[in-house]
Amino acid sequence: MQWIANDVFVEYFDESFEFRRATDFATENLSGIYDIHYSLSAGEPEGLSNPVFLQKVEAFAQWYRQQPEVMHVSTITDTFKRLNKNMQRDDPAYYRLPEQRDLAAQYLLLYEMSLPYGLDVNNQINIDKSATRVAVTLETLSSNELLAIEERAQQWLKENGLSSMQVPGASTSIMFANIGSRNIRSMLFGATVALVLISFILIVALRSVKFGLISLIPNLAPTAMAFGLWGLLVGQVGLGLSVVAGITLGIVVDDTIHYLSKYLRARREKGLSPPDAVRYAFHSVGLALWVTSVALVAGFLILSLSHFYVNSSMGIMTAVTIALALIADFLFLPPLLMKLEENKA
Amino acid sequence: MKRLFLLTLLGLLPLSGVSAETFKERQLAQAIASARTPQAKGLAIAKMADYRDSGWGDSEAKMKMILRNRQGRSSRRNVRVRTLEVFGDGDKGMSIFDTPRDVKGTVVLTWSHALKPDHQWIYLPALKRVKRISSRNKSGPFMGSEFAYEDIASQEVKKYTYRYLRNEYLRNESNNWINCYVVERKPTYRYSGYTRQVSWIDKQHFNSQKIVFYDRKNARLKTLIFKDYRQYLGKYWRAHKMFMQNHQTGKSTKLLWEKYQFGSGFTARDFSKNTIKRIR
Repeated sequence: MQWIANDVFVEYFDESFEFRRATDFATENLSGIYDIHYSLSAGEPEGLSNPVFLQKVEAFAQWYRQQPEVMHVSTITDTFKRLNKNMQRDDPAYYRLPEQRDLAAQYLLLYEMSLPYGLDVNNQINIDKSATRVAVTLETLSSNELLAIEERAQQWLKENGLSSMQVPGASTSIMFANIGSRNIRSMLFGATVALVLISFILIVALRSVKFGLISLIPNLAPTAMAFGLWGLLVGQVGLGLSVVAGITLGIVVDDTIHYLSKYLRARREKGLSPPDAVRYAFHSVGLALWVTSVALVAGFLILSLSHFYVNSSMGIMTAVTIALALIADFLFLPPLLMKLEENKA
Repeated sequence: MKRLFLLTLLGLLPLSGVSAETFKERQLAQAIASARTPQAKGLAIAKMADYRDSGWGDSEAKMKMILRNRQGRSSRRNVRVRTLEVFGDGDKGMSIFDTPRDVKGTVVLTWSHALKPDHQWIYLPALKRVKRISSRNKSGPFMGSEFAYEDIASQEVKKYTYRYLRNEYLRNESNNWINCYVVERKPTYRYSGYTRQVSWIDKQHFNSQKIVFYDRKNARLKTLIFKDYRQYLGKYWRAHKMFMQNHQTGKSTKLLWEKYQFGSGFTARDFSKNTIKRIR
C-alpha cells in the first residue's frame, strides 16, 4: 500500500490558484517551501562550541547538501567558518571551523554582540547553547519522498552522529506527510473493516448466513473496482481519496440491502423462484435505486470541476464508486443469486 | 508678582551654609514646578534625574545575567562591569566575562555617545586580539539579552526629547506605593530601536522605577522594572535588580548586581582600546 498512499500538497491546487503559481515561482527561483529542521544537541549547556560537535554538525550539513532533493542547508557552522576567516584578516585558508572550544565560544559571543536590532541567535541556537538547528530546504516533494529523505538522514545520524544528535527531523511538511500517509492507510483499512462488519450485521438482519456472506460481494466490489480503476489510470491515492470509501459506504450498503431484502421477501413470503424474485426486486426497488444513484453521481461529478485537487479527485471517485455499486447490484448480483440458488428453483 | 515671588524664595534661603549644590538642586526643582508645557516639565524632570546622578566618578560591580525563554529554559552569565563617568558625553564602560568558562577573560569596551554611534571593541583572549564591533549597534541586543545597548548605556539628557504625562503611584516589590512622574521620551538617536519610551520616575530620588519600550512600529515591546535601589556615597542610587520582559517574544532577562564599589580611581587610560588586552 505504501506506493499508492502519497500526496504532493502543493499540487492540491491547480495553476488557476495564485498560491500555486507563487509557490511554483518561489521553488523555481528562490527556495522551496518544503523543509526539515533538526535540533542537534551537544548534550551539555555551552556544548555548542565543542569542536567535535561542530565537526559532526558540519558533516551532517555536508551530507544533506549532497542529496539531490536538497536546495539549501542552513547551519551555524557556516557562521563559525566565516567568522574564523574574518578574524584572520579574511584569509580564505581560515574558512574552516575553529579548533579550540574557547575560541569558538568567543566567536559566538562576538557574533551575538554584533547582531542588529530585532535579531538574536535563538533562531539557530537554543538559550543555553546546548543545541543548534540545521534547516534543510527541499524541492517540491511528495509525502513519500519527503519521508524517505528523512529516513536516510536518520540512517546517517545513526551511523555517524553523536548519541546526543539522535533526533527526528521536524517541520510542518514532515508532520503533514506523516498525517497524510497514516490517515490514508487507516481510512482505507477502516472502511474495509466496516464493510465486512456490516455484512455480519446483515447476516443477523437477513437471518441468513448465506445471504449475509453474499452481501459482502456487492458491498466490497464497487470500492475495490473504483480504486483498481484509479490505480490503473492515475496511480496514487492522496488524503482526499482516502475518504471516498467512507463516504460511499452508506450508499453502497444501502443499494445492497434494498435489493437483497426485496429479493428475500419475494423468495420467503411470496414463494417465488429465484428468477421471479429477481424480477420482483427490480420491479419494486429498481427505479428508486436508479434515480438516487443518478442524482448522487451527478451531484458528486460537479465536485470534479473543482480546481482543488482534494475536492475534484474525491468527487470523481465517489461518482465512479456509486455508479459501480449500481452496476454491481443490477448486473452482477442477480446472476450471482440465480446461480447460487440454481438447484432450489 | 513674579519678582515678589522670587524675592520671597531668596529670602527663605538660609544665608549661611547654602552650597552651590543645593542651590542648583532648588533651581531644578523650581523648573519642574513652574514648567508651563508638558515638554518643559519632562525635560526638567530628566535634568533633575541627571543632576542627582552626576559626580560619582567611577564604579565597579558584579553582574549576573539570567536569560530566560518562553519555555522557561535559562542560561547565566557572570560579568564584572566597570564604568567611568564622562562629563558632557556618554560614559565609558567595560564588561569582563567570568563565566561561562569558554568566554572567561573576554572584555567588551564601550564608549557611549549621546547622539553619535557608540564606539565598541571586544578582546578575545583565545585569539589575543582586539576587534572593533559594528558601531551603529545601539539598538542591537546586549550580549544576547533582552536589553539593547541603548537600554543600559548611560542615560544622557540629550538622548531624548521629553513630555511629561501625569503623576502616578506605582507599587514596588515591598508593597509600598511610590509617587512617580510619568514621562514619555523619544530617542533623538536616528538608529534607535524605539519610537518612544514611557518611564516612571519617583519624585523623591528621581530614580527610574519602570520603563515601557515601544518598538519602531510603536507596538509595546518590552517592560523594564528596577528593584532594590540602594544608596552609595550617601547620594547615588543603584538598582540591584533589573527585570526586562519582552512582550513580543516572551523572553526575559534579569540583571542582578552586587558588590558595587565607587572611587577606585579609574581614569580614561583604563578604558582604552589598548588596556583591555591586559585586563584580568
